[in-house]
Amino acid sequence: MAPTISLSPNPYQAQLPAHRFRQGNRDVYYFTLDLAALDGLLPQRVDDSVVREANRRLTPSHARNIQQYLEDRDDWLLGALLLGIAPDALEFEPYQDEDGNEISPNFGELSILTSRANTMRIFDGQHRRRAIQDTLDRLGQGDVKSDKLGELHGSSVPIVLYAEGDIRALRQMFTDASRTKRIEANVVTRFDKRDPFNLAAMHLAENSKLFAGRVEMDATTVFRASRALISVNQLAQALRVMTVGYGSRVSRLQSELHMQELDALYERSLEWSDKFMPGARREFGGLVSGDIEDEDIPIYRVESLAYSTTFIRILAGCYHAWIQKEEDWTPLASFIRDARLETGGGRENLLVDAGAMLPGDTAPSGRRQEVEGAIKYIVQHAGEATNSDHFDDELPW
Amino acid sequence: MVDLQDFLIPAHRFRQGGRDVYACVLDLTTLNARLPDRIDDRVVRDANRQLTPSHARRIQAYLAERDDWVLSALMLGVPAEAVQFHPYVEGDSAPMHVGELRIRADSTVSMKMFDGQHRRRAIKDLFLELASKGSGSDKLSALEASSLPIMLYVEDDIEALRQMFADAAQTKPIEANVVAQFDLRDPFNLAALWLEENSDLFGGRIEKERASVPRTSECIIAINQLSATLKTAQVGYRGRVSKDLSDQYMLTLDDLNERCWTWSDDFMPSAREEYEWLVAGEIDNSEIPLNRATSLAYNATVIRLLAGCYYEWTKNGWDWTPLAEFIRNTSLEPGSGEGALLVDAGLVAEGGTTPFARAQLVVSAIDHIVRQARAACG
Repeated sequence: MAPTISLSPNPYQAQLPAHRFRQGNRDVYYFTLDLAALDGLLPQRVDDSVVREANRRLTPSHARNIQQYLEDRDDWLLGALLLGIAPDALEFEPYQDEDGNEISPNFGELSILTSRANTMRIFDGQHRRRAIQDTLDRLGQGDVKSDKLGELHGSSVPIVLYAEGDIRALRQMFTDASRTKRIEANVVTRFDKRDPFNLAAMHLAENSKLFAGRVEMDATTVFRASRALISVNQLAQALRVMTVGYGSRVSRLQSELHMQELDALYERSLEWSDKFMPGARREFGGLVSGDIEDEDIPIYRVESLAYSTTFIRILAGCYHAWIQKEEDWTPLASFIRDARLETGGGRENLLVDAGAMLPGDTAPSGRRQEVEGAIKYIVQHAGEATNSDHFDDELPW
Repeated sequence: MVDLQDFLIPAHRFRQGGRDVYACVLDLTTLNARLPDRIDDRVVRDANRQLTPSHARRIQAYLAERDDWVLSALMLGVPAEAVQFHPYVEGDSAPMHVGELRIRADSTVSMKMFDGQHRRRAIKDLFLELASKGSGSDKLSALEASSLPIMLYVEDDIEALRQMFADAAQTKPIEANVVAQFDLRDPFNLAALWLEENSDLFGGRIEKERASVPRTSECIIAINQLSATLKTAQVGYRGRVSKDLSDQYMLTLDDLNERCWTWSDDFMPSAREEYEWLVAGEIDNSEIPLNRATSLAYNATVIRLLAGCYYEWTKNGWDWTPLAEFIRNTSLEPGSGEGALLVDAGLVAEGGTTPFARAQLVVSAIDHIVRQARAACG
């Protein structure tokens, strides 16, 4: 049976049930706030565009992304906001049960002095705080209150409040707290099932004749000695390029459309991976037919640029650019198939001529402008080669 | 050793995304005993990515070395049947959202940590390290008195937890320019901030609001780029600064600032008239965007390249004057062909207007320039 407790009345503006604990020689308080209560208690940025106090610039697009996430997803989650405040702005009274005994020395009522509440500073979470406010403001407009607004009003976010008022210390705490290890791209591809290209990459990793068993799942890139052709995140990226073109973005709407027509996306992806790619290079054709063993991939990688993941992305970009204009990708595949792709090559090597690689280099540049230039070059030259072939066909002799 | 019975802790209960969530606090000893630990580090498993030992070791070192450490909340998923919540009641009022959370003893098996495995491993390893040195250290006592906040989501579906991990990790990485201004434990950040106030070349020409310099900017380098460049001038382009070395620099900051100043306000203006004109006030800052079209000297990669050359030249105690003279007499005009310094050095393509920033090309260009300069001065 849980004990019954009694709260003492007090004059403070903010009184909250809170945990108290120690971290790094500071008192820290941990509590939750209803989303609707955030606005009343937590400070709001007014000068978004500069690095100020313990905060970086506020990036409106990042706040909008979070807002979109809150509005779109019913299964959302938001981590704790981190704040600092001068220690003398806080008082803490452990809860007592009906017999006057402390329930716990570190669980009780936190009071924040009204006069000092405005000194509270968010040092991690300003974008979330802005997104929550903007979401509630937007959904609260008009007379009809949505279910979503009701759900959000019933939701909360945890707050970790450090008894620390020094700006320099808070800045250091911000950088310390931000030293997280970014989630690796291969993990995102495997875990985030809301992205249609992640799903398509996982589909190819299981079902493609070219890629099944040859996709690196546990690292973001492919090692030179690996028998894999591409990592799962690189494959998702290549499929995105194949679908919308190199450098193009996939809007939320487009993403939703692809999610609704996943089978069609899978089919197009398989057409590219299992027909176009083997048609475009013997290195891929040999893998599909079994003429090249997986164990030979590291050896071929030393000799041919075809197994470079940048080249595979270039091929995806060429394929996209080509099929925007032509139904039949065969001429493009034939042009690429006949081109030289040896590592360390000079002039007449496809990627050197296309500007994606310096003569003598063993890997193409992954820089955007070079990749874009190479795609343009290859598609243009493949087109010219096709036209000249057509011209030859029409000659009377 | 903590008794692994069911245990009771005060907790907040709240809702997020249609799930019940419990916010509680665990002292590090209890956390170490109660929360699941990875046993198969090297694969993506359950709701976790691979565990990277070096990252866990960095956190361990941070906890061991800093007294003012900060660690944010760990996030876990737990099956509904593993927890029970008894809300407190305030007098005759309705039940509160705070109460007593009972966590079943066997929940360690069913709990899945989806954010915080490196922090959890670091705490475990630090306790082991301190225990192996013998009990009773001040650090051990401080850690035993410390705690971490926990967010316990009532969710046990692996696919959902994977999605939650991906969602929780969608943070915006802290920008390098912010780190350079906020992290004052790095001597090169401090030196960059010092140059901002004291250097004739860089003072008033450092971009602090962005991590790079837009082409239309009147700045010549961003604060984080300057910090990296100063590091290059001290330890070389590929050089690493160990913790011990960093500590030494921190102890002799005045010397470091002085050396950085020599590079910025003596060597750089000697090496390029573009910098000399800036220092002398012959070029107004408003002209910098226009001048970018005629000289690569205003490019941050080139400035760092010059720092790399300076290091390679001076590391054996040589006078930098011949190197500066050699660089001063070369062309840095964008769009040049063979014969231009950076084209010959392989850092800019023929006709190119921007240098490649790829490490191997920069290193090779530094090597080329230093060799050419040595040859030129016999």
